[in-house]
Amino acid sequence: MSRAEDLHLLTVAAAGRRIHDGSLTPTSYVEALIERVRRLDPVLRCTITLAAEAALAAANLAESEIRRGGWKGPLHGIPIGVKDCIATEGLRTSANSRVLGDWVPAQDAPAVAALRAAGAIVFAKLNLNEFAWSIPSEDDLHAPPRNPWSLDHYAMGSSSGSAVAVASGLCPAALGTDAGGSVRQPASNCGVVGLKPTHRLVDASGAFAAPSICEVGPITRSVEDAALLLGALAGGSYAENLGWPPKRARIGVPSRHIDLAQADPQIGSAFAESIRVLRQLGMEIVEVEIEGLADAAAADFIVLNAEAFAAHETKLRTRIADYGPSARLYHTQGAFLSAADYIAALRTGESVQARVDETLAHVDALATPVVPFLTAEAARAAKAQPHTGGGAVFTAPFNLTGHPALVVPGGMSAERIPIGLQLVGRAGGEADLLRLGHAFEQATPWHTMHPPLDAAAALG
Amino acid sequence: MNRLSAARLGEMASGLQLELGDDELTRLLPMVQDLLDVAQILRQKQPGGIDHMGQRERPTDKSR
Repeated sequence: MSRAEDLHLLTVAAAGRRIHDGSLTPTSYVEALIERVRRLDPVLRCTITLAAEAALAAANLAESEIRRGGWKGPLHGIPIGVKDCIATEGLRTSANSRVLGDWVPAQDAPAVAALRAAGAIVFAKLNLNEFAWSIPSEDDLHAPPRNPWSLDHYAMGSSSGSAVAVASGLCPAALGTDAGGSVRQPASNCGVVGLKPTHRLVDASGAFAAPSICEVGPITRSVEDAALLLGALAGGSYAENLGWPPKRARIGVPSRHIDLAQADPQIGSAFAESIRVLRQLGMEIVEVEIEGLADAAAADFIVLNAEAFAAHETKLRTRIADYGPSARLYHTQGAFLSAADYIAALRTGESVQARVDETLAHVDALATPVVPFLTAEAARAAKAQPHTGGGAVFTAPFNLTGHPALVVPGGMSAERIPIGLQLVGRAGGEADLLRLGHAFEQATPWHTMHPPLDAAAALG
Repeated sequence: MNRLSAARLGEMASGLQLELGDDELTRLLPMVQDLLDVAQILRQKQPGGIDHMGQRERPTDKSR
């Protein structure tokens, strides 16, 4: 891989090794990705702010630090994208809303600070649905990113720009936020890896997010890269021992919950094939019944709506016209909920959390599809209670219960749109979860596939 | 489920000092109705008032 053009295919781990051994400089890497963003982003629409000048300055600094023997680790000199609702010091943070406009934060969100401390370079601020709501809207300040696998479709959100940028090779990794599936659904839809960590494992302050249910998590092109980023975000060495095969792991499948969601048949087939692969890897597959998972998805959206209104109340009263026509309604819904509604939703979470914990005492992880729909448009058109968890029936329960959930590429539809597999682990069990995901990833071809972007480049 | 009217929603929005036009209230109505319906179901499933002291549901393991 010597051509500058191919640098976009490097994973974080591979780029980190090359930067460490001197065969790649952070400056040439950042320059190659800046060129790629400028060429492809007019079509993909995943970048709100490209921090070209600052990223090149940081790359120069990293280069001289490494040359002087000050290598900080595998993220040193690696350009990272950041969802534009996460604060970045000295770099515009708009949340894709006129409400924030050209706000330039005075300090980094802790997650961004942690990545910078590990030597990563903040490369770009990435597009999202306005204030990280889950449904793409044409009337947001910046139009929704396109799915690089099928440019006729939007990418699922809300961390759509992060998933599109990583899948398209505009940056090797990005941060997203996830309050109901907003890291995992776009990762699945774009054929990349997404991790929602255990509640509060990663400091999510400084991100515009519902505090009880939202996590900051990495979107990457490999499970190893997700482990590397989590190590920097949370402390610890999740990438070590990743290759040790899990010993006769037991995987629980909540079949009744999955069947009730009536997922697209192609998603059902891909999930069945993923389960076959897990079994072939020596894992024991057991059926589990966890009462209340669908209630937990709905309850997560009650909490999300209530906390979103609480966060936006003042701005909605004084500057409602600055919100996009859809976003102003999304953020207003929670105003009509009562305190009793909110408490009932939190209690639902406590009950289901206990049931998931009890189940995970007998199995090592749960496996589910990620989203019942193949495209963002299908999810929006299905009217499956889009504001109360219908499209997030597999992802949102684990925001409310706080369990970690990893999405890995798990299939491809006939229309060449990626389909993901979700693995849910014990609270604080990210190391085991990542090992399971890594074993699955290495046994399947999906992570080696890249979207066909030559046509997009020609359009751009 | 209690049905919410656009007029009632408008009154509530006005009481909360939220300036929403008629079109916006029309779009908002089914969204809020969905949310309130779901919330009502959850409240019924999670009785937590003083009438239910000591009767809180205990989670049961259905996985074995």
